[in-house]
Amino acid sequence: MKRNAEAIRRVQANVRAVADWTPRHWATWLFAVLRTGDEYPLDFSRFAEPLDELEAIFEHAGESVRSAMKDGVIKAIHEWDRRYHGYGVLQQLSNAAARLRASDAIHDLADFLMRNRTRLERDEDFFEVADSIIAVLAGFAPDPIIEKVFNALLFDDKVSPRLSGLLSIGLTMSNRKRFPAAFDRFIDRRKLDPTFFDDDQVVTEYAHFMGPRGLAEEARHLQLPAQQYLYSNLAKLRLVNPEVFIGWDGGEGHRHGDLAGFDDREEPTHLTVRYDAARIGIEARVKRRRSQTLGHAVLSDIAKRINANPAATPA
Amino acid sequence: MSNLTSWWRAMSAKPRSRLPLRNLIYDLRRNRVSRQTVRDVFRLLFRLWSRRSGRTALSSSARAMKLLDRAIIRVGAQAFCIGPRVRCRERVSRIIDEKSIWDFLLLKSSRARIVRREAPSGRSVGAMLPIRAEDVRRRAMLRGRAPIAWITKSSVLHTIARTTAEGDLAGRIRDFLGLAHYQADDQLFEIVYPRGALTGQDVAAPTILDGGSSPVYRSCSHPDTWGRANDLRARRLGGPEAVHRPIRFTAGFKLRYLGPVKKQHDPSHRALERRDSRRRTRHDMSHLRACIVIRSSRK
Repeated sequence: MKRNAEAIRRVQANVRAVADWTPRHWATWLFAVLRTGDEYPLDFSRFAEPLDELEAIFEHAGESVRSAMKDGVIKAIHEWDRRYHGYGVLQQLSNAAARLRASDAIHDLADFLMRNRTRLERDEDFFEVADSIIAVLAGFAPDPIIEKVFNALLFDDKVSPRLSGLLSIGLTMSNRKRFPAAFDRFIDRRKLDPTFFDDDQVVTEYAHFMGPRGLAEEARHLQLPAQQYLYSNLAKLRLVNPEVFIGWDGGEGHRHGDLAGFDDREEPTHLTVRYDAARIGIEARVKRRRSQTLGHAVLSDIAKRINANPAATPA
Repeated sequence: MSNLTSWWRAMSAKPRSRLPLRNLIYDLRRNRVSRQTVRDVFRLLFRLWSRRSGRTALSSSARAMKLLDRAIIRVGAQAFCIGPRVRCRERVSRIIDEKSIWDFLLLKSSRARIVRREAPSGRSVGAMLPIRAEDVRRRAMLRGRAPIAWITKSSVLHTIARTTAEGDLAGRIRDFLGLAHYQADDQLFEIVYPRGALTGQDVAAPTILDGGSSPVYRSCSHPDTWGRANDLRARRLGGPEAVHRPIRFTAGFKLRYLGPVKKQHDPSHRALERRDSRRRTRHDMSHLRACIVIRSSRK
């Protein structure tokens, strides 16, 4: 990040002041600044958030200071006590660990989640800190500890279903082979609180990691409801071209009866799901291009194809 | 040498620290701040100032400014939002960066949003980030590090958006509103307040107690009762600004993406001092002394 001259001077002065700080100093200082907002003896902008300034020091410091900062954050997380510091401080400490790439904080944060998993169901204050910690841990994936913890939490019925989106994507990032199981579980848990998730954003987040096309291809291994959810959102967001679903991208050059790209031996219901997704994608595209005649012709083609194969009709 | 004299000298040493002094004297001369509050601030300030500094990152003028800020914070909520009342009859907005949104206002779980290093992509400038009640943190408050939130008129931001290229929008708004703490690559958002969000709330033009030692803050009285920021790009006053006490952030607010700050302009302290038409006089310190010293009546 490019900083202005004043910010650079301030950061350099701070870097000089912390040159001989040990992890103990950092931990004590972090508790003070996060509880009271008083960054003394360092000099922070009155308007910037402390973690932004901390990140600036980290970026400008040498290796020994960076190492002490990371160890300090890890130490502070280790020593955090709810009665003295409150959940807000832990939430900020976990964000600090993410900003400073203090990956050794994984152990304490994961341990904290596992020890308090029963609270994830009913304690709303705890839910907010868990929201941050899980998002931070997912940022450190792939890691075997994260895979183990996320797997345990995602498949635990007592953990709030609201965390299942983050947990499933974190698990997938830790081990891509777990994608079908993780996504199917997310869809199962989502049913318990269907309005909570912003589906567009969840699918976009998945697509960010796996690539939209890769996601659409991997989706063939999902159960039907999960496939339906994923395909329709990918098509609606236009992250995937209808060609992936039916072998035609919704553009010019289509001839009637010329649909390709699907296999009639495929499970009929899955085939219908793909047609539905393609229809959503084509509708989005046709609306944009205002060439409704072409779009309608193709949609009727799709309908004819499904009707010609009675087994493909949705149940 | 008294605490006041030594502190004043430290503050007068550099253009950077002379800027807040001008604001202080301006506010005192125009009675924009309560003298009792200023007195409380300086009582604390001198207590801190008289202590040995120990090892800090600060030069004496930087320490003088820092202790001013610390004293204001320690005086607490009574020091903030006490400037001239603002007639707030139109839509208002606040500028915020993306990290703060996810750290303090919105939950990450409803969007499965992972904390990662790289900037998000694929969002278009001007797009609204939908907020639903489920997304909002239970105790989310609109405020900064100090117990106030800075706002501006939404209409001003709309005018800038109409007349500025999309790629430069965030940078232009940053500069026009004097938001020097945002740097290149910061992703900025506009929080659009719902109508009536500030009904019954104190909304005030900012004073030295709100702006503290920031070199870009400038105390200013304008006919429309709002304060005015320092435009960092042009040699003139910038957009309207006001402060209010913390209020709850709800799903009624809207978030509009303004894009990343690409170009930032940061005038030197000397340039900021030069463009300030409020001249210093040799009576300034005695005026401050008269305001903060309580003379006991002797028989």
